[in-house]
Amino acid sequence: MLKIREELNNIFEIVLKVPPKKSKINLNYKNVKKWDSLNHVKLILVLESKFKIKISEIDSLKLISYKNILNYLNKKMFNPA
Amino acid sequence: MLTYDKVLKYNSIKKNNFKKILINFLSNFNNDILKDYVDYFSRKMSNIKTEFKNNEFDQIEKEILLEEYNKENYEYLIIGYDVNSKLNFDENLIKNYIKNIKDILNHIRNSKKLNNSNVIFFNLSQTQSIDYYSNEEKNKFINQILTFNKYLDNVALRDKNISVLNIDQIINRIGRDNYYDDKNFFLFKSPYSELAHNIIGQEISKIISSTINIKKKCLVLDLDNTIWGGVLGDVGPHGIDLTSFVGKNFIKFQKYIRILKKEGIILAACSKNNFEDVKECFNKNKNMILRLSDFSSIKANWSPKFENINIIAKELNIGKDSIVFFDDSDFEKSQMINFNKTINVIETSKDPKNFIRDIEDSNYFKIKNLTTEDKKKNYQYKILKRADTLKKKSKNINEFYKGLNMILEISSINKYNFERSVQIINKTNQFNLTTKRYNEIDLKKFLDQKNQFSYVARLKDKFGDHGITALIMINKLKNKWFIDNFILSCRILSRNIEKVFLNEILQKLFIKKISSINGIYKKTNKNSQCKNFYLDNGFIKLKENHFLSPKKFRIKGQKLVKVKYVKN
Repeated sequence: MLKIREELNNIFEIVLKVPPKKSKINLNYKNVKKWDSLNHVKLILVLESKFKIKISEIDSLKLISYKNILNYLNKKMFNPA
Repeated sequence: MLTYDKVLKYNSIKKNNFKKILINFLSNFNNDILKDYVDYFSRKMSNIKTEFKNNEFDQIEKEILLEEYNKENYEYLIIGYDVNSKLNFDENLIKNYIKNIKDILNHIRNSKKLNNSNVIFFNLSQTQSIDYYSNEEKNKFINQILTFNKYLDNVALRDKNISVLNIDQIINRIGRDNYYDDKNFFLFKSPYSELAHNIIGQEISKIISSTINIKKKCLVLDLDNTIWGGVLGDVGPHGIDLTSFVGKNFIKFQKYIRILKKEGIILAACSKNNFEDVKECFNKNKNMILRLSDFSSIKANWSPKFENINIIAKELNIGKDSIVFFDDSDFEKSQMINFNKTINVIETSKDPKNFIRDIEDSNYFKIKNLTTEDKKKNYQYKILKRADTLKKKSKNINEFYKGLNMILEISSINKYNFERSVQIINKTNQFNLTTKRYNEIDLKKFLDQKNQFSYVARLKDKFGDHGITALIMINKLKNKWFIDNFILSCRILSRNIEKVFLNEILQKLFIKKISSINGIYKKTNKNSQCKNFYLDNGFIKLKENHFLSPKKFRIKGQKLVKVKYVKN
């Protein structure tokens, strides 16, 4: 669980350029300036390759906040369908 | 496989020593992710940072017609059409593509700013998802694709600044199902999978670096388990494996090495073996594709390879950074990396069937445009070696020079030698007094000046034609004459040619009543050997690295070289 958060923080820093020290838990596509449609795609691609999962088209449209993504990853990693 | 997060992470590292290039990438699919991959591979493999013009996708025609477009200035134009992203195929689609490409080419060739920019076209894959078409429609479609690809190939053949990215070659490599990804098309209108992004990005950056980077000159090969299977010392010349299922890969590799040689790469061998055994193997094993004579230098002995390679560099008179080392052994590779850092070492896989790919992916020898000089290079290095043998035999150096029957043919830089002049300006590092690089446009500008004299020289001797190997450019700045560029290819160094050439040109200027000529020595990491060139030839030191020609300039040993003026 901790590892997932760590990785996710790292991804937010690389893709969305969020400073490392900033808390990320309340971030979403509205309050992150760089979270535009292109970076959203980049985010999905990085999540897929980093966690070795496939994110469906429909799911990818829902993953628009840090919390959503974290929950999604936890579900996907620990209860794979 | 390289993952996208690694690409983004690497691209965010700031480094200053990158060469920046500006690219206009137009496509009928979203290429934002692909741009990141191109940038990654260009940075990683060639120290090039790629910057892309902002534009929307699927607007190729609009971009071309836009007024703005005419004012643009970029070094590369990439045009990517992919029909897989078009669900409805209509008959005019490909005709339109060809028309657009004609328009684009007309436009850039007529534009002063862009006429030297490089263009990369994606060709079209024949493996489209057209299963739902009737056979008749399918055939029609495939024929049109073939016409399009043929058209591109012809264009690229005629124009050296145009390259074609062969998409089917990539698809053949990874399979169609691994190439396209419908989800990515849904998500962001790019039809490609992560793997396809990877490979297309890598291939584009290879093309870019092949037009920008200075090519490596020499490939040094290990022998045992590299160009044949097994250890020669153990199994003898007929025991090496070139025929088994695995052994056939070595034959394929040897054929590939021959192609490199034909393209002007100098071959050398460096192996822990007895020289006599190696010679016997090349002569007696009939399955060998490579011949002993294909190698310009062979070091088969028991000294460490990182030492042998120094001797090879010296023998061939080339810089160590232009040598690429290929060996299957991790030990040898790591020794080379640790003890001879300037040598380029190729990351090899253990499996001989991947050797060709290892060299291709290293990108050291990707060549788009070969000049005739390049093709002759192996021959020229060999005549150089023969001259070296004569040098050892001769009693004194003057006798040796005399015996060479050297003829220096001087001509002004003109359309016949222009391409080679650009090459020599950009490739030569060691005997280069200012290391001022000029691309084709800059050189044209220089030659268009009123007050300039620019010459090249070709050296011939009893062993053959060394090609155009020296260049001088002189111009007038603020009422003073300067030697802007003075270059001599390293393969004809230590023959006094540089002195004879300078002498000739200065005499020419003296006749025109130009008697004070300034020479500058600009230090680089590689040109220390010509540091004292001006001082040694009677120039007067004005400032640190700034010299002035003497009133009378005549050097000794002039008679040893015959000078001729020619027109081309």
